[in-house]
Amino acid sequence: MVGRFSGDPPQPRKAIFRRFFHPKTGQEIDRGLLLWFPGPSSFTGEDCCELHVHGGSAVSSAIIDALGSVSGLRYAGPGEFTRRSFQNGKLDLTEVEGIADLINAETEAQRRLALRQMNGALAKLYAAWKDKLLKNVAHLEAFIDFSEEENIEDGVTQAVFDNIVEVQQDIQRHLQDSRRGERLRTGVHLAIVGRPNVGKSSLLNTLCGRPVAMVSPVAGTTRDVIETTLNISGYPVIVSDTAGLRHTNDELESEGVRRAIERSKSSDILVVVVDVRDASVQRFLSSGHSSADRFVSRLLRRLGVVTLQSEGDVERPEVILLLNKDDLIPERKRLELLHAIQGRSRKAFCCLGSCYTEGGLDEFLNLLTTVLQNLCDDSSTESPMLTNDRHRLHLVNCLKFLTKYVEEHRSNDCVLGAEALRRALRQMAKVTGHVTTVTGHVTTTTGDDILDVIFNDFCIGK
Amino acid sequence: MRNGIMRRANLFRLNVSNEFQHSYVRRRRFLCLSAAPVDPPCHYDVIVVGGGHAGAEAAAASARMGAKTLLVTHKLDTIGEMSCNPAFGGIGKGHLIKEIDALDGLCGRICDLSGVHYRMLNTRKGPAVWGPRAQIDRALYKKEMQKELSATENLELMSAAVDNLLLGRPTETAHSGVKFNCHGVILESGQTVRAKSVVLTTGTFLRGEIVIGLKSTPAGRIGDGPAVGLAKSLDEAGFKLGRLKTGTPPRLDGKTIDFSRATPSLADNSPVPFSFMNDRVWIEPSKQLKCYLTYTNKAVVDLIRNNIHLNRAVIRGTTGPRYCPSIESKVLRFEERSHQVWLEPEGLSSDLIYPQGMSCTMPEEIQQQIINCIPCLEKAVMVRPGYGVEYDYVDPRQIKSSLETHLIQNLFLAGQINGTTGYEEAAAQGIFAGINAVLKGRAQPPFTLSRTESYVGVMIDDLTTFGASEPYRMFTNRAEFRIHLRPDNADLRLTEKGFRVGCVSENRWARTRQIRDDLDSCLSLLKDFKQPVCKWRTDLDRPEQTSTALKSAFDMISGDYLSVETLAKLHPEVFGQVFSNPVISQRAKIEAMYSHALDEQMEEVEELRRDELIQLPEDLEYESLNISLESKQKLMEIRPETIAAAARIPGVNQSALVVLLRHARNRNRGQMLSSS
Repeated sequence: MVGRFSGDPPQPRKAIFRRFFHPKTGQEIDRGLLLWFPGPSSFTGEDCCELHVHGGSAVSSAIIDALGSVSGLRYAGPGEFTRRSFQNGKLDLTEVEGIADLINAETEAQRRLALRQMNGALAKLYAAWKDKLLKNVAHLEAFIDFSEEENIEDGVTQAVFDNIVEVQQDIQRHLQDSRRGERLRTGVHLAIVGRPNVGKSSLLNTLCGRPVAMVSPVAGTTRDVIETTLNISGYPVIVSDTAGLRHTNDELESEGVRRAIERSKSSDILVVVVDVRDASVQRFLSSGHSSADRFVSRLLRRLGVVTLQSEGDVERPEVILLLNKDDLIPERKRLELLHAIQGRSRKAFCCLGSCYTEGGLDEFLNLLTTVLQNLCDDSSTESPMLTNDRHRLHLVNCLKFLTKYVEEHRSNDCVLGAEALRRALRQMAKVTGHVTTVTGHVTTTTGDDILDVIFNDFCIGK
Repeated sequence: MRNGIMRRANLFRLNVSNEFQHSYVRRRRFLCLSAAPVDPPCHYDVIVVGGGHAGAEAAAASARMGAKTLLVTHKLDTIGEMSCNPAFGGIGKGHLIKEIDALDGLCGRICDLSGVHYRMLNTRKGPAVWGPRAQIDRALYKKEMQKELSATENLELMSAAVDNLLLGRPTETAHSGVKFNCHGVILESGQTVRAKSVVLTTGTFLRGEIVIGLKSTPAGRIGDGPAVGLAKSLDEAGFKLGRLKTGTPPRLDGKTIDFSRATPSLADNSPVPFSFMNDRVWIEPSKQLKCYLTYTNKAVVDLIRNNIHLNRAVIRGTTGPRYCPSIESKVLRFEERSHQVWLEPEGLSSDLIYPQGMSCTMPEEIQQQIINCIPCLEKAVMVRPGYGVEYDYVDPRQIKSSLETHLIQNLFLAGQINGTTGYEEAAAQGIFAGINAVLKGRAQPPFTLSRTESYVGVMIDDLTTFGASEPYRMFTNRAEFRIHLRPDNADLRLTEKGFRVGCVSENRWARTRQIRDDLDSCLSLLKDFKQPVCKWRTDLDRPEQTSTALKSAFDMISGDYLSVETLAKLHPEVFGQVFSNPVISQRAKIEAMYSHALDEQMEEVEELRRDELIQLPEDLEYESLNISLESKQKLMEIRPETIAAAARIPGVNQSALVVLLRHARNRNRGQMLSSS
């Protein structure tokens, strides 16, 4: 496992600097320290591996996501390391005693955390799914245990199937919320990209209201990624100003370009700044029919942010196009351009303006606010947001088992389908926290819960 | 045969008469505390009280292990009596029979000698939940069971009523929860019979009461008196007793039923035997009897509604088992529906028909009217009315996973006394209690089975952890690891364990070993035989594909595409011989079907097993622990034996578990280090 994640198995108990790759996509996630403790000389007595990564929550999310995608890996329950350590004879009595307090504190904090995170609507949503799963698990179980001798209505398995597909879709939708809740908790990542000297740093300074980044007429002033946190219309936004994108032989600058592209890929929002006088803008204007979307895609490709189109499963960032320096073109031309942009794009994502005169920037901010709203809120459905990595992981697992059930549904052996469904239910129960973690048993979904539903819904008996 | 039993019983009486001077004054309960400085010698290793399905298995298991065993029951003639439905097995229950058989128990083999209609249930739902079931000839079953028991070495049968337990002070090593030590039983005659351990399997006889209409009569079963003294003794010993209710339908005269209008249900053409020891059942497949199905109608609903004031159970609001409800409670809850009534034969030489689904406690004349409302039964004559039974049971949270009670050392409880229902549930506990009664007498560690390896383990864990608020019946959905706990592999799961503990004969163990070896070599053949996917596809006449990835025959038969028969035809040189054994080929196929899902579940299994390995000391002083009051109360009441059991108790919280871990640690450290 360690080998798959980071190359060759490392030397035991030595901190080693490594690059970490996603085992499925092969994408680099972070670099950091890797510590390898082969058992029995480890805390738990089993093989252990520690990854020391950068503290940002995006990195830890990505690492957790990567680890979660490896089959056989899962979150440790609270106190599980201590328990394993204890089971393997690594801890003695006093040590366990000391850690017992720690474990208690941990679960207490977790309880509070869960309460906060799952207040109201979210808790209700998960509970509703759990209930729905429980009911359908029970109905399928009733079919297995009773249908031969009792009156179980025909079509019970079909009804279960339909219901499960519904839950499956609901969870899928919930997971595809583009991490709204998590984003709201940890901040929206916005990167400003574009060719050199189009006014990216000026935009950052204008947004901040203070000179955060150095600006100069010389192309390539910004070398590194400059990051600052802003409150934009009430949304936490982490704005990154990046080096201008161009081919260069300057080693330092080309590193800056590489970082800029990297950052653009991990952002939620990409603000592409273009000088209105750029030849491409002129071509767009004169072509007369090509759409603004195509213009932007081409632009991004030329800028080197090409992967956006090719990687279907990676979330595409929202793109905002800012045509900067409109004070430097004649008013007639400006209006013509505005008209062309508005007429040839499906939705508003472009605006004209000038960081110098600050003209048109209100419009830009309005546009940005709309995008932020789309990213963070879900006012359209009123459904609560997913806020926690742990929930996401269990939900993803739950979904995996539901999908397995759907696959098995057609086969002759409904036991395997039922098994998948029972495991999906267990995952859902873990989300809502109705689980005794010392053993990993879900106490609320003992057979009796299932039986209760069975006997409420069916007439069973000799 | 009966004379034989009686003779032995008389012989026994002669034996004890010498001992009589050692016995204690009758009726002076609990005052017999270690009066003599040296305990008088035991007459038996194990005494089993009760000759029902739990008692028979307990006594036979004990005797198989070489322990000198006595079975005491009211009437020798009722040993092996099927008091309720004339059928064994089903879904979940069939699983239990397989496990009992794997431990060399009796009921599977007896069913193979007495069934009149064998049918495998759930065949369209995957082998993990196949339910072997059979209509049994009551008379034959009883006869074969009595024959088996009277031929069992080390076992004596005796007809007598047990009035009380012979109790003494607990041994000095016992923890504070133990109040008494059981030394034997006191019979109604006043005789004392001593034994190292006692198994109580009194069924519904503890203060049993039969209810028909508004009338109630003390009885354990129609025609048999209740056991009142024993219930009182258990009460006085401090056991928490509860009351449960069950029922049985009326019996009909088959000659008066118009079967031509009912839907017949046929038995299987090639009946599958219950026992791993048998290749076939006793009856010619074509000679099997039919069952029939009919339904209740609106008239039944009206009749019940109009006469509900005549029903004691309904008036009192006593709740019966949800899965064995009376027809009146079904009608009241699900009024709109028509309910199934199965017409089941009671045997080859009987005209009686058992209308399954018609369990009823209405007054006799109303029962007759209800029956005559039902299609096909318009002219049916009721031979005996249905009735309800109310009885005392011991809250099973007061017993250990060995089925020994916490309160009284050397006393074991099995069957309906623990709040279960069903022959199979009783028999499974019986065999378990029998084994453990012997082990206890020999001062050997108890025989236990985990939830991860058997339905018996699931049942006992459920009972000892959750108790029984209604009669407990086995369902497959109670087992977390259902795809592993299958009827087909019960022998591989349990027989070796049973052999090690001494309750499985050499003969059976040899057969199981043979099966295991044959299956193993078959599975390795399947796994070793690999060919490219493209080759498999041409073999199977499926559209060609260029994939050259290797796939084993084992992988191939795990799905629906390839049957073992086809495989044997495709590659007779490899598989022809192993697949000539239909049992092995079917078992190999089932292994392949579930192997993937099983692998996925192994982590959960291991997790639970690890927790089950952490034992909690029996003498743990919960009072002194710094844990929440609720946790403390629950733990003191249930006294879980392992961390796994403790974690399943509702109301025991996380921090209490951590504290428990620490105490477990004390006891287990050396053990765990050596095992890891």
